[in-house]
Parts: sequence; structure tokens; C-alpha cells
Amino acid sequence: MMATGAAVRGSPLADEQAALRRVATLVAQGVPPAEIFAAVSIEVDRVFGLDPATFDVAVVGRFEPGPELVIVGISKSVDIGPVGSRWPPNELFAPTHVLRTGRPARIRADDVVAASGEVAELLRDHGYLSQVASPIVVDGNLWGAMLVTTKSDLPPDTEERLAQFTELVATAIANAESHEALAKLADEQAALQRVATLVAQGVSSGELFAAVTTEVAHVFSDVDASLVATVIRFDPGPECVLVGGSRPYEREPLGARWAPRDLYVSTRVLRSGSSARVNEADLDAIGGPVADVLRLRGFLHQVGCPVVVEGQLWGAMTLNSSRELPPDTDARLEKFTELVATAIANADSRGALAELAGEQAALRRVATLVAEGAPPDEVFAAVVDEVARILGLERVGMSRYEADGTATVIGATGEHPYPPGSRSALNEPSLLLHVRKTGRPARIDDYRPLPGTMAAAAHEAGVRSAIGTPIIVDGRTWGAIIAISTEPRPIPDRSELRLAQFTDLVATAVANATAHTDLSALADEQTALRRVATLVARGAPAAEIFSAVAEEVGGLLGPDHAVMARFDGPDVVSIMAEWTSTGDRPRLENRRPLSAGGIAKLVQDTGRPARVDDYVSAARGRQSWVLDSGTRAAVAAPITVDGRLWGVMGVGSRGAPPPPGTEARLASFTELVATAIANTEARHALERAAAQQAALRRVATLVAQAAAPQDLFDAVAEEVGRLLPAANVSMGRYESDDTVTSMASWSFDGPTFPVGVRWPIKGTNAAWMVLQTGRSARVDDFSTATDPIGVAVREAGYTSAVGSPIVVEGQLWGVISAASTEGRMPPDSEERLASFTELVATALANAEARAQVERLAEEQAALRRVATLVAGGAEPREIFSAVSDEVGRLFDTKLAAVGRFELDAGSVRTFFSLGAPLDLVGTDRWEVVDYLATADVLRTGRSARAEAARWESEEGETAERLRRLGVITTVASPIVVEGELWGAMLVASTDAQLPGDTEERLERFTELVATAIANAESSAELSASRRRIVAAADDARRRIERDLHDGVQQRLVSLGLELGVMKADPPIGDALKEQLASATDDVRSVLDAIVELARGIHPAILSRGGLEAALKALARRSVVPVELHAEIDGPLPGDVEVAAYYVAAEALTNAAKHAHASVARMDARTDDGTLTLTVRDDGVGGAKPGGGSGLIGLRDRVEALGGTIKITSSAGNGTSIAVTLPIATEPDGEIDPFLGQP
Amino acid sequence: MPGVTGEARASESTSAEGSEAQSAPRARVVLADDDVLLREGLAGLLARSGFEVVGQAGDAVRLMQLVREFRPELVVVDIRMPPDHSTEGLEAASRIREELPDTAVVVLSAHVELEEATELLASGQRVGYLLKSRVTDVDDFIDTLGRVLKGAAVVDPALVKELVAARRTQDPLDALSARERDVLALMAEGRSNAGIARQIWVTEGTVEKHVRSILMKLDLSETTDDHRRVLAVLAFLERR
Repeated sequence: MMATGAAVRGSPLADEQAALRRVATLVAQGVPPAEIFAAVSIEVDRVFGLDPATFDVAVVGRFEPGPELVIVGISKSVDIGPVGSRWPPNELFAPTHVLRTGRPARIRADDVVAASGEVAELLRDHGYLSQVASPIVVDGNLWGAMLVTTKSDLPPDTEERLAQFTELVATAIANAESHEALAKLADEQAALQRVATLVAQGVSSGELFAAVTTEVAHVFSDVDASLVATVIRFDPGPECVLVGGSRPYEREPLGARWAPRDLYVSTRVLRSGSSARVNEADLDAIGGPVADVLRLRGFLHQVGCPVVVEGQLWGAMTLNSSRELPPDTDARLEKFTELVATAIANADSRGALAELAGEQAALRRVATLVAEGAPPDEVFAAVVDEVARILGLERVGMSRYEADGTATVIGATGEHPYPPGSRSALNEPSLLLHVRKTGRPARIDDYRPLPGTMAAAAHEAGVRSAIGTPIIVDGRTWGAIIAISTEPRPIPDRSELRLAQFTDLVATAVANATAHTDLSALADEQTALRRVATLVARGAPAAEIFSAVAEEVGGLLGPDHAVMARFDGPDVVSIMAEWTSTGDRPRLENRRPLSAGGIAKLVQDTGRPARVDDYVSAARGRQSWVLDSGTRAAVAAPITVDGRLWGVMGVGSRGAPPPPGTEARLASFTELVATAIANTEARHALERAAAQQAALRRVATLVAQAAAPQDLFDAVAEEVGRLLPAANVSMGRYESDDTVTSMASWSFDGPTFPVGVRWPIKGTNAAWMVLQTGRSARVDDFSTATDPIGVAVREAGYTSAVGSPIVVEGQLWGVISAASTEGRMPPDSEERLASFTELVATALANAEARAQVERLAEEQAALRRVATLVAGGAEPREIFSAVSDEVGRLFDTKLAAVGRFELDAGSVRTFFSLGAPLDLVGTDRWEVVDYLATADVLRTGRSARAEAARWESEEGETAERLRRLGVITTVASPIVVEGELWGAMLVASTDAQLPGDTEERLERFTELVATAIANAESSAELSASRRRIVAAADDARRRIERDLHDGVQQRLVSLGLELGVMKADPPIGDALKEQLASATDDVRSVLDAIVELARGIHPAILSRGGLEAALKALARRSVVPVELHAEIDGPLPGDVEVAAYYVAAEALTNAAKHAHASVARMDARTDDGTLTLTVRDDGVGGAKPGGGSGLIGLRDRVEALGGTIKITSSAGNGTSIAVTLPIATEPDGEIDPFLGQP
Repeated sequence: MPGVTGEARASESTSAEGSEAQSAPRARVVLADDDVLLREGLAGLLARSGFEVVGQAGDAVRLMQLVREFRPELVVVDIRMPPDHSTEGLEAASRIREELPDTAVVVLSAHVELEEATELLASGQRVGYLLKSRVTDVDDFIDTLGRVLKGAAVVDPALVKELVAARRTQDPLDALSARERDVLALMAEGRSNAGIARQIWVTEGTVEKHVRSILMKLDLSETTDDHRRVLAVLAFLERR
């Protein structure tokens, strides 16, 4: 060995180096520590040349708490221990010394030999006499030691040489430790990651806690494989709740709770809020049953870390091990607790979210119901269910506060002791009462101390705590939700808040529902009203509308009975429509009496809505059909049509009175009904009016067609009868003796009055009353009649009659009467009859008028015939005969004549009859005596009439003639020609009176006759005038011829003679001058004469200077001084000037020649298209046309120009000639061709 | 009356004009009349009386041409000429007076009318309005022409006579003496006081006295202008 050893020592360095290198390589390769320990041990063994045959060994050992040395590597297997065996410290143990000193240590063989004891023996037995141990220092910490033990003493450099190996080992260990640490870290990280993943995945808390504890346990398993990790939640109490554990306990399942105990690390964490430890020492120190339990479980060492969730100490994580836990456990645990905290926070929030979501979902469900307008009951039920679910309470109830201080349960979960509908009095302290009083949430956490049976009962029932939240609707505490818990634990604090959201919804629902109810009630009502209104607008029959209304009202207002009735009198109603909730009608008559105190009577009396809440007492024992129908309370509203109270609509209830708003709601319906009635009435009125118009039109047509009166009367009677209607219609004409002649009679199906019969009318009948008053009248009671008509009417069964007068042209002609057999004739009968009587009057008047018209037509024809004759220029005589004939025919007499007034020789006026001679004893000349109509005409110039009475007792031929002829009346009308009474027309009758308008009618004829006469006269006149003009012209010519002859011609002849003489015997000297002068004079005078003559022919001055100048010249030359006033505007037509000039000239000439005037005044002026010339002289007057005055010629000239000439010349008053001449130009055609242009 | 004055005129003109007739032409004259015979006769008469007839016209148009061309001192024109045969002469007279105011115009008319006289006289001095038949009294006619040339306004005595003779109920002329009436008539004829004096064989002073008296009686204003005097008197006579 030595040799080997020495030989080995010979290269021991190399060997050592190689061995070190080999170990280093292994270390670098990251070979697991165990392997390295083994390898090192072997290398060291070899290096130190240990005898394999001995127990000499190299060992690597680790110090562990105990302290112990744990063998981690050995160079050969020996019985002292395989790897893993543990050696307790011992003096004789070198590692122990290393442990103590941290430095290499050696045990000498001597010491071992000398030592005693078990260990010494063991060592000696094994030959472990020499030991050298070297510390393995890892990261500055004494990790373990390396030991070489031999029988013989180890060389002194063993420690040094060992140290190199221990360094390597230390490095390896360090590496390995860091590996391990890394691995552990990695492990831990992986574990944390897994936990984190779970957290992120949002797994349930339970799952998470389980996973965390498992991971943690695993992570720390190297410390203690049976380590238990837990997650504990701190609950109020405080309590600790096991929420997660790595190894399920037998005794403590998850969810186990325990009160804090000092020896629980969780308690310490709870108390301190930070990590804590509990060691075995503590257990020993404190002792007690808890320590026992802990020991039993093996929880000798605990480490706890707080789980802080959102700043709050939520719970703790603990590690429980039978071994001591490394110091870094807290830190490492904290990573896990962080995750757990996050997870919890997440879960919390998720849980909260979930909770919230759950709550939201619940709220939404309720809200949906509310929005859908679900019936309130449904909503309430849903709410309590959801609340129960959300809060996790089984008993939730909702109550509504009533007006009377009670509360009604309106919703309850199944477990709730009070079912919906039950009422509580709220007279004892209770949550409901409290909530109601305060209007705020409240809670009772313990019913026991509360007084009252209810509280006691509640408690009995197991109720431990309850919360209540008010339901505020429209600011008022409408109701409350009460949630009850039978759990000992009080209901969580937040619950009121969460409840509040539900109560809000409920409040909305209620409000909506109320509104809904209101709305739907309103909508219902509107719909109902609309249905009725549609009927009304469509003009449905009244009955249909009434029953529809009754039905709608019934359905809507929910009474038991609805009625619509019409007031038919002070105490009677007629039922128009009726409805009952049961569907069957009361078996009552349609006409029912109004009972005093009854609601209908109330309405009738007041005209306003009324209500009777207790019919029994209201009726006061009186008979009442309302009561009979089972109604106990009623509300009624009046139906007012066109301002008058028409009827009533009422609803009745068998039980409670109808709610307060019923009157108003009824009113909407009564309005509609009133409209319907008004419409119907209006329609009826329209129909009646239309029928009346149609009837009137038919009658009017007959009238217009000039139907025979009898046909007309019959038609009228029938139309009236059908229209009013009446049972009988009669028409009668009043006669002068208070009787009436029946003209027509019509009857529906009864007897008629015979036509054409005269009845005395004085008595009880319409005809008499109409006669008396001249106006419409009615008789409604024939029972007392004694007169023939009244009796007949009564016996015929007519009970009432109305009569209307027929007034023709202001006179009461007759009467129409209409009678009925039932009751009274309607009030408007008089008025309606009147339209018919008017028509009849018109017809009668028309008939009269027609007769008149015919007469007039005849007359017009006659006039026309006469006028034709006149226009045709027939001879007057012919015209007179024609006129007499026509007049005679018209007046139906042969005695008609036209006559002229003449002055007899004895100045007696006679009436000279022309034309048809009056059929008398051969004479056609009558003296105009006083009693004759003609006398009056002569005297007054107007038509006159004379009756037989006037000459009855007269004497004289004329009177006798008249009497003989049998003349009754004579009428005479004047014939006035050109303003002068020329004659008269006479007509006489022998049978009857001449009608009153004879004068007037005669006048039309006399006018024609006058025209004829005037025409004849003027045409005669015209012819005469023409002749005269022609004569005048001829005359003028003759004069000119004469003047020329006498004047000019003569002078010229004598002049010629003179000159001839001179020629024959020419004078000389003075004689020549003389004779020539004389001849010149002669010439001059001839010139003058011619000038004068020419002036007479036509005054040149007219052409040159106009009329005014000519008149002036005339005035100058006039022998009689002339005062001339001329105002002539503008030029005048030539012929007018000439005419005026000649008039003036003639007038002046006459004034000089005949009138012997001293002065003449001449006026000429133009005015408005007329020239007026007046010449007046103050001479002797008496000028007459003709008689050489040339005045006739003037008239002709003036009239030929369409002018007028008026000559006034009474003896002694001078002569005045006034001429007007139109100066507007006329078409040539109208100027008399004879006169021609000037 | 006419007879008296006529004769007086005759003698006056004979003595006055006889000597002048032989010396230089008295005036240059244009004649207008549509009657050729009468015109020729007048021309001959005027020439023998010492006038120089420088032109003869048969209508108003030609008359104007001649007057404008020859500018005579005197125009003798018939009042009635073509084309209208009404008062062309008067219109021509007034046109001549407008264009050549110094020309003397004598208008002849078959009838004398007051309106025409006043119209002509209104055109100023040197006008004469004479009856056509007046030309038969040659001496008087020539004399009148001379008077007009000298500046008088002459109205035919026939017209004056008619005016004076016109009867009035209360004739203001009744206030005049017979002599005064004579003087008035002569005034109306357009004679000057001297002329009047010669006519009635009195002194001019006497005439002036008469004239003054007449004017006073008739309440007419005195005017030195003969021409205006004529108008005034005519107007008075007509108006009264």
C-alpha cells in the first residue's frame, strides 16, 4: 500500500489534479449533486489511497438541523450508513467539530483509542481512528463537511488537500442548490402560474382555493411532504372559515368555521394583519386543548400569510407542517396569497358582478313586465320571487298600504306566512308600520324584544330578522317589500339597498299600472265613447245607440246595472235602454214611475248628476223599481238635449257605491247620447221638414198648373192629413152668415165630413175660433160641444183639432182644420198647417188673378187692334167705330160710343157721337146735361160714373131715353188731344154694374183715341203747312218778280231812255255834266234798289256776320226802335239762322206796319241746343195768323225746322212772338225736302 | 244829307285835285277785283286821276304777290273775291297791313256792314271802307282815296247814315242839334275838322266848337287822333 501510496504519491499531484478535474467536469456538467457527492467521495478515496479492504471511507455529508449530518455521498458502501443516513453530533466526530468551528477538524487515532463509549467503540470497530473533516461552505454558509476516515493517521496535508475537493463540492452544491433553487423557483413560478391561470380563468373560488393549496403544498413539499396548506377566510364574528385545503381533513370539511384561537396562525394573522408563525415552542408554551389538537394533526409549525383583498384583510393562507418551515416560507407564501387575493378580488367582483348581473337580470325581468304593462299582480309576484332569489331569502312579501291604515298583501313568495290579499291592521309595531311611518328602509334584527302579538308570532314562526323597503309612488309611501330571514344571522347589510332597486321598479310598475289602469281605463272609456260616437255619426237609430251606450257604460264603469231613460213627464220615465251585468233584464215595463228620493227624480229635479249611496234608506220604504232590481247604490247623470233636460243615464251597483269619478265618466256618455238624440231629433225634424216641403211642392205644382180648385182642395186635405199626421182634415169656406161651406174633407180611415154642405159654426170647433180670432186655433176638448160640428167631431171619435185660416188678399176666406183621434194634436200643427193654408190662399188668389189676366189680355188685344188702325193712319171715323165696338165687347154692352164736345149754336155743349151710334131714336147728338157722366167729364176733365139713381126722377128727353133703355150705369172717360178736352168715351150697361175699374180701363182706350185724333189732326196740319210753304215760296217769287219789274226794270228802262236821248242829242258843257250826273244818280238808285231787293231775298249779312250781326242790322234799320239782347254762342245752322232772321224781320215789320208800336224788344239766346228768339212790341196786338201778317208763313218755317212758335197777341196788349229752334244738327233725311237747306 | 255832302264833295275834289292831277303821280296803286270789267274801269279812272296802277289782281293770292313785289302806297281791293267769295278782301287787307303797315288799303263792298267796318278800322290808319257803287261818283271816290293816302280812316256815308238813322227809344242823339248831327255824321265818316268845315261851309273853328260840344253831350272823350275819333263815334253810334 505504501508503495502504492508512495507510488501514488509520486504522482499524487497529477492524480489529484486529474481527480479534481474529473470532479470539476462533473460539476460543470451540472451533474446532480448526488452523483457529484458520490464521485467526489470516490475520487477522494482514491486520492488518499484508502484501502479498499478496510472500512476507510470518504464521505460527503450535509449538516441539517438537529443537528445531524446527513450522508450525501460515500465512497464505498459500508454499514455505517448508506447515503441518507444520519449521524448525530459527537465529540469523536470530526464533522461535529467542523460544524462547531466551521474549520477543518481532525480526530487522532489516539483520541479514538482512548475514548470510551458507544460511539468510540463503533469507531474503533470500524477502524475509523483518524478523521479529517473539511467544511463545505456554500455561499458563505457552512453547508456540510467532507470526511476522510482511516485506520491510520492521515497525512498532515489532508485538510489542505481535502479543502480543494470540498471547494469543488461546495461549488457543485452551490450550483446544485442554485439549480435546485432555480428549479424550486421554477417550480414555484410554475405553480404560481397555474394558480394565476386559474385565477384568470375565473374559476370558482372553491376550485381556486383547492388548486392553490395543492400547489403550495407541492411547492413546499420538499420541506415537508405532508405539509398542509390552507386558505382561510375571515368572516364577521370574527370567525375563520376554511375555504381551501390541500388535504381534505376528516374532521374539518371545507366550510368549517372556528373561532379565533391564539395558537392558530390564522388568528395571529387576523390579529396582526401580517404574516405570522406558530412554532412548536409556542405550542409547548401555551399548551391547552388547541395545542393538543394541533399536535395531533401534526401542525407543529405553522406559517400564515394574510390575504388582503382590495385593502381589506380577507383571510389568510397557512402552511402547517410537522417540521420547521424555512424562513423564506413567508415570502414564498406571500406570492401565493397575492394570487389568491387577486383571485378572490376577481371572484368577488365576479361574484359581485354575478350578483349584480343576477340582480340586474332580475330587475330587468321585472322591468319588462312593467313595461309590457303586465297586470300589477303579476309584477308583484315576479318582484317578490326575484327578490327572494337575489337576496337568498325564502320569505319575501309585498304589501300595499290602504287608506284606512291597514295594509294588504299584494305579493308573497310561497313560504310567506301571509298570502296575497290578507290584510294586516298595522296597529302593532312591525316593520310594515315602521316603514310606513318613516317612509325609509328599516330592519328588525331580532323580533324577540318587540312587543305585540305579531312580533311574537313572527318569532314563533322562526323569523329572526327582516328588512323592509318602502315603495314610493308619486311621493307617497304606497307600500313596502318585506324580506324575512329565518337564519340566525341577520340579513346582510346591503340588502336594503338591493331591495331598494326593486322597490323602485315596483313603484314604477305601480305608477305605470295605475297610470296604465287609469290609461287603460281611459283608453277603454275612449274606445267605448268612440264606438258610441261612431254610431251617432253614422246616424244609427236611436234605439241602437241607447243600447250600445248602456252596454258600454255597463262594461266600463263596472256596475251591476245601467239604464238610460227619457223623462216623459214629471213622474214618469221611459226606459230607452237597459243593461245588467248578469245579462238578464228586470222584468219591468218600459214606463216606470219616478220615486221620490230615487235617483232619477233627483236628476230631474236638479238637472245635475246625482248619487245615492244607500238606496234602501233613500227610498225610505217607498216603492222603487231601482231597489227591486237589486241596486243598492247608484250614480246618474242628466241627458241634456239642446239645453233641455231630456232624460237620465244611471249606473247602479248591488254592493259598494260606484267610485267618485263615475258621475264625470257618465257625463261623457250622456253628452254623446244627447248628441245622438239631438241628431236624431234634428234628423226627424229634417225628415219632417222634407216631407212637408215635398207635400207643399206637390200642392204648389197643382196651384201653378192652375188645377181646378176642387182638385186642389182635395189634394191639400190629403197631403196635410198624411203629413201632420192627422186623422181627419177638412177645408171650409166662410159664408156671410156664420156658416161654413165644406169644400173638402179627407180622413185616414174614418168618416169624412160631406162636401158642399153648409154648417153653422158657432160653438166648440176650430172653424168658429178661427173666425173669431182670424188666427190659428185649437180645440182639445170636444166633450162639452153642443154645436153640430163639435158634436159630429166628438161622435166621430176625434179628440183634438187644430184650425188655420185661409186668407185671400187680406180677407178671411176659409179655414183648414186637422183633427186627431188620440190625444192632442202636436203643438206645431198650427204652424205646419199655416204653410198649407198659404198655398191654398195663393191658389185662390191666382185663380182670381188669372181671371183678371184673361180679361186684361182681352183688353190688350182690343187696344192693339185699335192701335194698329191708328198707326195705319185709318180715318178717325173708322177708328171711332172700331173703338166703340171693342169697348162694347169688352164691357159686354152695346152701349158704347166715342163723342166730341162741341159748342152748339146756343153755346150749349153737345156730345156728338161718332162711330157706332147709340141705339137710340135716331139721334147721335146729346145735350150734356148735369146728370150725365159726360157732364162730370166736361166739368172735371176726369173720368166719371153715373148711376141710374141720378136720372131716376129727372125729366127730359135724355133721362127718358136712359130709363127706356134700362141703363143702370154709365161711365165716361175724357179724350184729351194736345192738352185740350176734345171729347169723351162713354159706355153704359143695362144688366149689371160696371166693374169698378171701368174708368181706368176706358182710359186706355181714350188715350188711343186721343192719339188717333192728334195724329189725324197733325197730319192734316202737316199737309196744310206744306201747302202753305209752297204757296209762300211761290208768293215770294212773285214778289221778287214784281219788285224787279216795278223797281229795277223800270228804272233801268228810264235810264236807258235818258242815255238814249243823250246819245241822240249829245249835250255839251254844263248840260252834259248835269245829265250825266242825273244818269249817275239813277244808276245809283237802281243799285240801291237792287241792294234792297237782294237783302230781301237773302240778307248777305247772315252769311257774313251770323245771326247776331244780322239781328243788329235789322234792329238798326227798323222803323220801330228795337232793344236787342242777343247771347248767341257759336255758329248756328244756316237754316236756323235764316228762320230766326225772317221771324225777327217779319215781327219787326208787323210791329211797324200793323201794331203801330213804339218800341220793340228782341231777345235772342242759345241755350242747351235751342235758339230762343222773342220779339215783343207794345202795339195794338190782335195779330192773327193769316190776314196778311205773314205769321202763318213763320209758323210753317219754324215748325218745318222742328221748332215751336208761339204768337201771343191779345188786343191791346201788344204782340209777342216766341220762337224756339233746335240747333242740334239733324240728318238731312229728316228735314222736310220741301223746305230744303237755307 | 247825302246829296248835300255829295255835292260838296264833288266841288271840293274838283278844285283840290284838278291841279294835282297833272303833276307827279299821286301814288302807286294795286287793284284787286275778280270782275275784270270793273277792274279795268277802275284802273282807267285811277290812271286818268294821276295814280300809277302798278298791278291788278283777280284773287287774294295774286294780290299778295303783287303787293309784296311792287310795294304800292295804295291798295284798292274788293271785299269779295275768289276762292270763297266772302271776306277775302278784309283778310288780305289785314295781312297787307301786317306786312307793310304803311300801305293804304281801301276795301270796296257791295254792302256795307258795321262789323266789317270796325274790323277794317281796327287795323289802323289809312283804311277806307266804301260801297262799291260809290265809284260812280268819280270825284268823290278820288277824293276819298286821297284822304286815305293822307292818313284818314274813311267809312262810307251810307253806313254812317244807317247808324245815325237807327231809331232808339231814348236816343242820346236827340240832345244834338241838327247841325251837330251833321257834324257827328261827318266825324263818323272819318273826316277831319278841316274836312268837315269844307263840307258844311263853316270855319274850322266852328267845327271845333261843334265837335267839342258833341263830344261833351255824348260823353265821349276828346281825341286828337281822327282815326280813333272815327272808331269812337262809330262805336258810340252802334252801341246806343
